[in-house]
Amino acid sequence: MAASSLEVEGLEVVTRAGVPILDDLSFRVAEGQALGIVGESGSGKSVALRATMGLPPAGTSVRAGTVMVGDRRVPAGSVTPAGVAMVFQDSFTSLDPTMRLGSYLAETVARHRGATIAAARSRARELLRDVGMTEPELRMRAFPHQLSGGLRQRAAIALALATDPRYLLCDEPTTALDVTLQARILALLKARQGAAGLGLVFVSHDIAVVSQIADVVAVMYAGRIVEIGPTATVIGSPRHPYAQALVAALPDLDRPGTRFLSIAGTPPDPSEFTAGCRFQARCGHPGTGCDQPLAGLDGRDHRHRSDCLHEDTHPAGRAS
Amino acid sequence: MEGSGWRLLGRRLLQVLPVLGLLLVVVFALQALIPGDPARAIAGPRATEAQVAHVRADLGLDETVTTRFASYVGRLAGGDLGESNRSDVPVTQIIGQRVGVTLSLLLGGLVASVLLAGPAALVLALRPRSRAAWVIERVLSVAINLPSFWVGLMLATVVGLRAGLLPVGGLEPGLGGHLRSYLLPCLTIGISLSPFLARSAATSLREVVASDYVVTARSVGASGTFLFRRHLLRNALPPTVTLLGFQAGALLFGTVIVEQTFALPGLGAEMITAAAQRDFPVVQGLTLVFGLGIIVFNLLADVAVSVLDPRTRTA
Repeated sequence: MAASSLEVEGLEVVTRAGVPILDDLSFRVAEGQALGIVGESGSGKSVALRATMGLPPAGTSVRAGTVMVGDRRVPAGSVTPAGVAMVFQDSFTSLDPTMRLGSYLAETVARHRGATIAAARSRARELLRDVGMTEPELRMRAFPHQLSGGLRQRAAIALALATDPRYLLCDEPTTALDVTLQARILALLKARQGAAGLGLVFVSHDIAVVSQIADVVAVMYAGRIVEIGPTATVIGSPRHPYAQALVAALPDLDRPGTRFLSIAGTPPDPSEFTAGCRFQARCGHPGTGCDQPLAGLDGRDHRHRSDCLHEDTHPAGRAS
Repeated sequence: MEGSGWRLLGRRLLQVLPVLGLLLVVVFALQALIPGDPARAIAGPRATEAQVAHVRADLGLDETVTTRFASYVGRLAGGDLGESNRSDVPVTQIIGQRVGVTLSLLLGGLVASVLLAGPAALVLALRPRSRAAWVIERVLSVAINLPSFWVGLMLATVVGLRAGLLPVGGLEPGLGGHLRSYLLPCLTIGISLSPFLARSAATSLREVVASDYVVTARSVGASGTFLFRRHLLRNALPPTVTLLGFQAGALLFGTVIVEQTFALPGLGAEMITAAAQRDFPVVQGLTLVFGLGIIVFNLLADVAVSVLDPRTRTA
């Protein structure tokens, strides 16, 4: 393996009642690489990130899996593997309201570097500049509620970077922002990826956003990766009916006035997960064998593949 | 930011003014609510009408209500709360001699309730499925319904009289004696206040533990006592401190009962004696002090919350 990488293998997350939300999910991202994970809410993409951090959502727990950070093996479920940090979706609720930005950053730096408070504070200022904040001295003294949405999300990214991560897990970091801010935050993440050689895992329901930042895209449906591959090929010639529908749902600026496409129905609840293809109920052209047990794709392999048995028989780029 | 803390305190004090005015009116109006004619009460049962009229004029009771209220406020402003009907001792002096006992009880009671409620809340919030939490939950359900006079009597009977471990009446001399004498009374207040505190603290702590920002804090490596001190406690405390402010009245009432039970020479015991003897100026003065106490207590709770939670500072 050329670059060092973050590898998650066989991740299994279950609810308190024992219902699996993720069964046997694996993915890999190399340093300096960006892996995008797309899927609608309930597909398990956020849960996958939280579980990787060892902080599964309330009411769920990590039952199996391993996390490899470089050549260090961490059992899945151990809290915050060193070298991995996470940016959360809603910076309004994810930053401690009682903490000044400067103290929060400096304490985090001090914890991870063993630095003195003075050194940690100067590193904190540097982090704020890195995420594009002007007047870092002023921002250091601010509480989260005194910052605008865009600045807060930058602060949240600075906080994640304060742990000197090699890999950054981003859970819909731009969803709560307007389009202009979205573009700025994406540019910022891309710049950090380039400058620091960060490996990014970027989760979003928005395939357009993911396509702007990711080198490799994994499409998740009902707890499984159903299609994976280099971003251009997945967007250009999706093979799985679900991925095709997602791509087709993208508004086309060249043909204004056309109706937005939507996929009929809703994704299954984890308690209704079956061993076979989980998309077949909503699929435009189910065929024979769709009930056969499927393993789900191994996301550590980035070659373009889909999980659909009939991927060769339906026309690319158009779902019903 | 630091300057706005003082501005906030100033604004809160301004908000208190109307409440203060209302308190003065109510305390003044107590006169009218008390059965019987104060002039006749002072002059005695065998006084003639003329003597009663004389006393009435002496007290200024023949003036209009507004004039009397104005002169009452005027005397208050000069630090004059009148004199006791029984002893002619100034009411301010009576209060001065006894306020220390009541303040000690309040402070001790608060400390006791925090010491009792704190660990209980921690177990309830952080180990909700444990056996200890189950037991604590049951104990709280019972304790929340125990009247403080009964708790006081039980403590006095069992710990004080049967076991003879601690004094149950009056203040023993010396610092050690004082501390020993305050132990059971403060524990009584603590036991009656802590169930509310424990429940409230456990609820807000549970919310904070499940919050997004605590997940974030853990994701950047905060754990153990650091996580607790820096992220959990500061966020969980404000609702409990606010509740404590609301409990100010109950707390003061608690001291009245406890002082009576344990024969402590505080404001509450004096209030009961004065009321029984129809010593009106003392009752009026003490009512004013208790009212002021509740106002100050709430003000302190407000300030404490704004120190803990920066979001309330700009509001």
